[in-house]
Amino acid sequence: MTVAPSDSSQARADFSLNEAAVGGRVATVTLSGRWSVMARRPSAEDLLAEMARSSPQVTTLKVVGAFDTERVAGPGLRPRPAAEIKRAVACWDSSLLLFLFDLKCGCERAGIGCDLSQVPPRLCELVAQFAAAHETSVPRDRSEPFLATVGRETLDALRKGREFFAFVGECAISLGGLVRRPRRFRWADCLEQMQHCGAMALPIVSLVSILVGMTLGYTAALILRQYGGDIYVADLVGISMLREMGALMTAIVLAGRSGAAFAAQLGNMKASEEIDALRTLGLSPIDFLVMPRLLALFVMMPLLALYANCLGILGGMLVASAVLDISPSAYWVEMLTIVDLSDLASGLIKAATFGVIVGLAGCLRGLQAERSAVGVGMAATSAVVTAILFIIIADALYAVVFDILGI
Amino acid sequence: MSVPASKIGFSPELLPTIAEAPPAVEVVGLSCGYGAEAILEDLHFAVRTGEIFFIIGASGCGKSTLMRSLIGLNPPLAGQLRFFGEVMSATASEAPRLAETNPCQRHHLGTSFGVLYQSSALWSSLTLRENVALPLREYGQLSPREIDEIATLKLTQVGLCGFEDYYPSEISGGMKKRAGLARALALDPPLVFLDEPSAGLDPISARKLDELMLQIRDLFGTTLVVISHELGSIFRVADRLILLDKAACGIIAEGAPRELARMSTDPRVREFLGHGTAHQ
Repeated sequence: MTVAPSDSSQARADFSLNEAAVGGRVATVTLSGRWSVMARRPSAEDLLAEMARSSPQVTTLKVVGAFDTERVAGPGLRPRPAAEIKRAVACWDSSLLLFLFDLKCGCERAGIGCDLSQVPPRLCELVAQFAAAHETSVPRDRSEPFLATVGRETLDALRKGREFFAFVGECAISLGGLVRRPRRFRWADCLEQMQHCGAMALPIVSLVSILVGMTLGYTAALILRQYGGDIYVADLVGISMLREMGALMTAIVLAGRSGAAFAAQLGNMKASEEIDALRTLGLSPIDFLVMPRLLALFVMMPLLALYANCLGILGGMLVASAVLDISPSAYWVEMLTIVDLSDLASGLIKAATFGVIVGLAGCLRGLQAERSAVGVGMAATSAVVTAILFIIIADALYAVVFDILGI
Repeated sequence: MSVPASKIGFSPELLPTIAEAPPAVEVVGLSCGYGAEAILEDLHFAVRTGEIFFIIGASGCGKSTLMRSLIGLNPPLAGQLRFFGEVMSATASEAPRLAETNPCQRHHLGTSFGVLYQSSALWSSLTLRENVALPLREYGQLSPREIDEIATLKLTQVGLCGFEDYYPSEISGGMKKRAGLARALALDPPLVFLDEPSAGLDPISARKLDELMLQIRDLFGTTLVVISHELGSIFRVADRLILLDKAACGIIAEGAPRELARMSTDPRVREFLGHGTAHQ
């Protein structure tokens, strides 16, 4: 019987079944061809099924083939003639090993003996080793009862909550240390972070702010033009930018830019044991890594928000000039009638708060990251999501507080 | 599917002894480095089929740079590289990088050799079984059941039976190395590169890895090119080696480790291998 498909270019893995030996009780399987994991191998099940159909009296299956039992470095190995190669097992790899394993298992199931004595001993050893491992191997069960999952997730949420408050507490203590001993603070790191999250964010903040200002201008023009109140576009854009949009848009940009970067940096440092090294030296990662970043964002965020306010107002002015024919001076004068310092201050206070939120979220998620590439990626994502969520919550709280205070 | 004979693994009937075996790797006038700066210049050596060949040298001598050129990650600055007589790369200006090659070339390169990286480089989001199965899925024509069986077999072969469903983050450094080797062997390539396989391992794990290398070579006739400076490993398993030197920007010795340790008159070779005679 020949089961494997033939190939015109070269001999594929193949075998033939001869049932004539020892009164039909011993069947012989002769292996030949090239056995490779890159191609489908002949099926041992098909062979056994065919044998069971044609000769049910067979009690032993003997596997033979023109193997060379010497190792590659052994003496006396010489190339063989081409005609001999056609009948031989010209080359073999794990594919043959799996075929023999399948055959052995199939024979065991059918109650037939499997004689591998003609197969190279090392190959036999590996088949036996694989068979033994296959029997003892227990797949890892990752399933978990529903209640256990709920319990684990709840405990995890509680742990994260505790970690958050502990982290905020440590930051507060570290801030106290900074006030008491400012010379010990890592000012160079802080300035470098200011450069990264402040000066280097200017292009993206500029683009976003001017576009937000223009969008507000267009939206306001759409309504106000209908009532002849074109000039009030200046009031709407000015108030919106100073009180809300300047700080909010800058915070969202920095959450995606600096918050994610902080989480990735600290996550990577955790994975490469740099944070452990700090702890074993008795240095606080909060003092060393977190405070310079937090302070940098606390200082730079209001400055960036101020810059964003200016560009947002400029964007509104451009729209008013181009669409509503309002001169820049008229726009400016009208805006000053409604906008005062309390609007500017409320926006800057929010910006400073948002800066702290972005810094805390980025650093906390970085320090909580798992020690792997996936963990670092998840920390960066989580930092952005956490920061934006808390920015929106803080913004809503400020709106209520400022309303109560009449600011 | 038509598979070139040289890519299928061990062909015992076709192979003469190692001493007469055709070269698996031929390096002809190879210069490699980063950018325009050459770290190693005008290298000439050949690795015979079925040989365990070590590339050794002190830290910073360019072992890993050479390895990156051999596996196609850094195109050489000059010279030629042949695997089983087939040109695998030309110079940086002539040859595209591995990732930029067309699918046919990529298939050819991907199945020609396996690589065990120094950090194991297991994909952290995949289980060990999935790590080993990925090359089979990408390059083979096998059913999912067959792929699964081969992945289990390879992991069993490296002593990781029972850990198939573990993630890399859940196993030790030594186990990661073995899993990395299982992945490198997934397609039963005729040639495997190993970058510092024993680095960071305890002596017992390192010895087990050495035994594994010998077993793979003896069973499948795989050619192994090993980057290392672990003298214990070198004297245990290396058939031949080349010694790289930073100052010379190239090879300063080539031969069997014991012969070099005993016969070489070069003080640099004696200094490097001399301490290793204790491992003999």
